[in-house]
Amino acid sequence: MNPGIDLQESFIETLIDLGLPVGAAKAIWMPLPMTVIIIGATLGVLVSVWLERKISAAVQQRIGPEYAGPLGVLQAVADGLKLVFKEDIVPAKADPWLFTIGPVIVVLPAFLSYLIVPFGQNLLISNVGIGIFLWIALSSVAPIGLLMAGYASNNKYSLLGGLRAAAQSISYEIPLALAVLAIVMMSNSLSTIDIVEQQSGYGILGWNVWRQPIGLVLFWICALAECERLPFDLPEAEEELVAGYQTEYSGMRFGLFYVASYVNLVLSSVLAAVLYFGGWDFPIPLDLVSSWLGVSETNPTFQVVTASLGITATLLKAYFFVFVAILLRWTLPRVRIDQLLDLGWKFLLPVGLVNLLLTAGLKLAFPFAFGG
Amino acid sequence: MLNFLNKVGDYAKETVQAARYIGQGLSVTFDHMQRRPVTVQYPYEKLIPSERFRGRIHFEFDKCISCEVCVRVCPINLPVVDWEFNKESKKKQLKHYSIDFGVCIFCANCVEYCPITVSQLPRNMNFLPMIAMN
Repeated sequence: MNPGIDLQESFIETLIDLGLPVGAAKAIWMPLPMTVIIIGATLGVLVSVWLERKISAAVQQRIGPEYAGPLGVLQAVADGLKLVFKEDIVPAKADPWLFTIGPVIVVLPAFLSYLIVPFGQNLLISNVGIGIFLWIALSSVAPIGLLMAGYASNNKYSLLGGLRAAAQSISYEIPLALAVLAIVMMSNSLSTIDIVEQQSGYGILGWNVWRQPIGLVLFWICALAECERLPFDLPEAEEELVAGYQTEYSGMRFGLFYVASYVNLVLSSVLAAVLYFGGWDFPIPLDLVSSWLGVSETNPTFQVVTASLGITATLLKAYFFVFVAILLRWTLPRVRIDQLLDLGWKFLLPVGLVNLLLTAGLKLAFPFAFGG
Repeated sequence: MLNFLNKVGDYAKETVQAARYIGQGLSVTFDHMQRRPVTVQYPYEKLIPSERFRGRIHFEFDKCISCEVCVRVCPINLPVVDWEFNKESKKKQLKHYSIDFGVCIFCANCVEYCPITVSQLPRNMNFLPMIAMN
């Protein structure tokens, strides 16, 4: 397997050649991918907000945002600016500290999880060994922020919303982890890079969807519940709880919750693409293409093309999942809190366990197909 | 043991059923996406009513000559025309005119036969089908 372009290595080598010490070169490199990823994540949020509004409009046969920029693409930017300039209100009887920290704790892990999102062989911030586990761990920090926000608002709706958010996140974390565990078992590694590597080589046929169809459904249901997307948006159920934990928030503090929910959605979609749809892997194996064209795999142009194709493929797959989430939003009614917990504990958990058992059995029986 | 397996089977059946319903719902929403939006952006676009559109009946009090043609052509004699003969000008003076739109079937016979409508330009029609703005 050819490693593709390694921006980090070449960048650091160039700096060392210029006469910088190794440590300084690495220190100069480090903020670059972080900034790129943070900007990318924010742009992803803007795009998905726009998509959400446009697709929702199309489903309901409306037009949707139209006047802010061509086809209303700047609507999300306009909304964001409006939120920035709005008055920032802290209710008189709220706890100002917890009230302020709450949304920050919700946003930070969402952005931090982008650490492990791979867009190519070497196109990620850091190839942490615990990769996907880091995401699961970080995503369970968010409910603490939600609970904090709900509790500090000193409002019964907020408190109920926060409690629901915590209950929901905790109970859906387990089937989510089980779905991911089955994948990890097949690829023998928690690292997202290794998970994609294990799927690549056979193009579309090698992707995990074919080996883990139950896992995909399980993962997607749990991811929707973790993101508090519509069939599971009980924490903010507007008919019952006004807006849940967001009730007392306004201005940019509300904006943080809003951003966090979309960052989480995009993140879950990217990870669904990475875990089940082969990440940056192109539907046709690119090694084959290079041999058809008679280009060497180490050809720089070919490598740049491969890398950009990989990024495009990842984003396309991720946005396919975003699209599914938006479509599901207008298809399914919200579940009740008891139905939600029933689904989590009585259905998804046993199915997840059976799926894990099945994967283990298949791995023993067909080690060549299930990553022995 | 068999009982348990039966239960599992029933549960699986229900799950499949639920999945199929969700699939049906998704196909409906997916299908709706390709349909044209029904929005009419009012000041910029206007709905053009079809030629035989019959809207709410518009009546102008000042132009009415109290001829009562509308009462005669109405299938149920609905319009109530309350007039008084003015001896000085030797003309009928309209005091009150009303149509109960809860009973009206909007056949627009009154519009068709109204002499003011016929004799005057369309702009000055006494009975004019009003375009319903929705």
